[in-house]
Amino acid sequence: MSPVRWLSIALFACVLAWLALLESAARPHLGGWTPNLSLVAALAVLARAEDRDGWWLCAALLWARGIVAAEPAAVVVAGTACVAWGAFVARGAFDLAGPAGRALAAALASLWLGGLSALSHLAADDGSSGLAMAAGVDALRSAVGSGLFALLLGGLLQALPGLGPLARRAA
Amino acid sequence: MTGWLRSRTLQFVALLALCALALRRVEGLERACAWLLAPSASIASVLAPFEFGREVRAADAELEAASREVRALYARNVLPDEAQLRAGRAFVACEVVARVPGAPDRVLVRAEDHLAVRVGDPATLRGHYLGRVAAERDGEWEIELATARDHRVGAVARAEDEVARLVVGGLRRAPSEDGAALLAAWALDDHDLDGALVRVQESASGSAALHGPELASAQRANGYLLGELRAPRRGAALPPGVRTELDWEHGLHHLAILVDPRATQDAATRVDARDPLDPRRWMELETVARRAATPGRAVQRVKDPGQLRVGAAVADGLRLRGRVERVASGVADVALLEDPRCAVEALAVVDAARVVSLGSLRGAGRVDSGSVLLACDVAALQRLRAAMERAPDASVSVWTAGSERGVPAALLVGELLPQPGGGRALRIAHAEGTTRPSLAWTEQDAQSPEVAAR
Repeated sequence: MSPVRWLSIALFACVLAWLALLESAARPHLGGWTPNLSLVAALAVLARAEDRDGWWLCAALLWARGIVAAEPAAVVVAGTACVAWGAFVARGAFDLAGPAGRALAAALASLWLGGLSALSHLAADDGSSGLAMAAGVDALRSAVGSGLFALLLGGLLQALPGLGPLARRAA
Repeated sequence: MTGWLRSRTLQFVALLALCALALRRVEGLERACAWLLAPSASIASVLAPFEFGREVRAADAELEAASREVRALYARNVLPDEAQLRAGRAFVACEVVARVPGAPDRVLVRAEDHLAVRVGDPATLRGHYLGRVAAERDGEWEIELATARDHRVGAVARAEDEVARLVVGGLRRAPSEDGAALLAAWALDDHDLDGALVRVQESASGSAALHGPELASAQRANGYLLGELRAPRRGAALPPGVRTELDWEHGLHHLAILVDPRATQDAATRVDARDPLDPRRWMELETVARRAATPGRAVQRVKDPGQLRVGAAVADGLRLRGRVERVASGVADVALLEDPRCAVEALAVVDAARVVSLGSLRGAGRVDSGSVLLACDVAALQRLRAAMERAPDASVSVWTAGSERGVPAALLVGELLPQPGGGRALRIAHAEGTTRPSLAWTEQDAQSPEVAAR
């Protein structure tokens, strides 16, 4: 792989980490409506990425999620792997780079991660059913927030400087 | 050869299996995934070399003074009001630090005047008898409560001119709806004294097993209250018992040990064994994520400096912010006060003069940027309301009780705010998202590697 490509992947990882930190800073103010910023950005770039970059992009997304996700580590890894796999499969059938596609993908991915988190509370079997309910409500809010964010600012994330070498896949 | 890896069906099945194993919390998988996520904390530290708006203020002197006063109030609160129960006795105030693992009827305490305490000394709370010192463990004293199955203490039930002797010990019935527990009564020689007050009365003739100094220790608790006799007629289905209104599960935070007056020059009535004002007990935490993106939770992620333990209090100055919930791979999750997984034993101080035990408070969400809801049990709410009815305009502040490993006494939880509609939750003033660095309480105990190695 060329140095330029490596640089782009490193930059992508930095962008995701910064977005994750920004998300954690915004959460006390926006609550459950806070969009999954790093997830939206990752999906926006994955929509145009080449297959050979997939593993590295997934790792960057995983580490960014690791900064802000407080679920058990296995739930974080499983949820993120499913999102990345789903994005790679779906982009073969739909245009995930367009406004509607990326908004829908971001909302569904956010809902999936939140739903898995709620399920993990239920599976814990420690009287967390109330917590699971609250997590489910927050997951819905976050899905709406993420969808709106992807719709309005997803294009900007795709066009971030330095990420061009990652977005070479034909639409 | 690796073509099968490209099969979408196989990938799908593998992911489903991964999700199922993750939800079942398979330990090996959890460890492997934690290792996989380990770089996250380092990435966050490198990319966030400073925290936005981080603010370091001088120590809040007013809060320190208030915390000191609250600790003094806790210590005074363990002494009896009745002059005859104080006369000729020396008290050592103690702070409960934990229940003995696997033995809920034994508590571990730290005594202010450690050298004055002896095995066998009685433990009391105000005018109530609690139990006696059973053993010493790594600088802490183990108290066997009167609810323990094998605990026995001589007693008398007295109503007007009638007196009955009995032996009390063990739990006959756990606290019922009225919040009262029933201690077992043995060898009761008169069943006509139902409702009489039962007080400790150890005597040489009644305590065949006790002699000399042991008997002298036990007799220091003579006159202390055990409860009210419940003595059905002979042959009734329910054997006799002693009704006690002490909250044995959540109401024991501080207590007094009646020591030999010759062993201590001055009654030690302070509880400073775990002083929250001691800066050596706190370590500063580096924030990784101010608020984790986990739905339904209020969790802060911090770097683990290597000494963090699950359950440790995390504070901003002397204000409790939450407790460490999980430590793994160099990071720790702190369940903030409003989080449903954050629970803390607390006491309410009414008008800076009276203490009301609130038991375990659990986060029930945030109301607005300045207040949170904390759920507590019905009996605690009733106690608090009763105290507030006597002083309707009183200011009520909520503080940590300190009877748990990792949480010192007298950290401010917040001021009580009016809660429209009542309900089973307390509304507490607690500001959102401080920008001051968080501090974590460090504490050794018998399970610490440092102590175990001694």
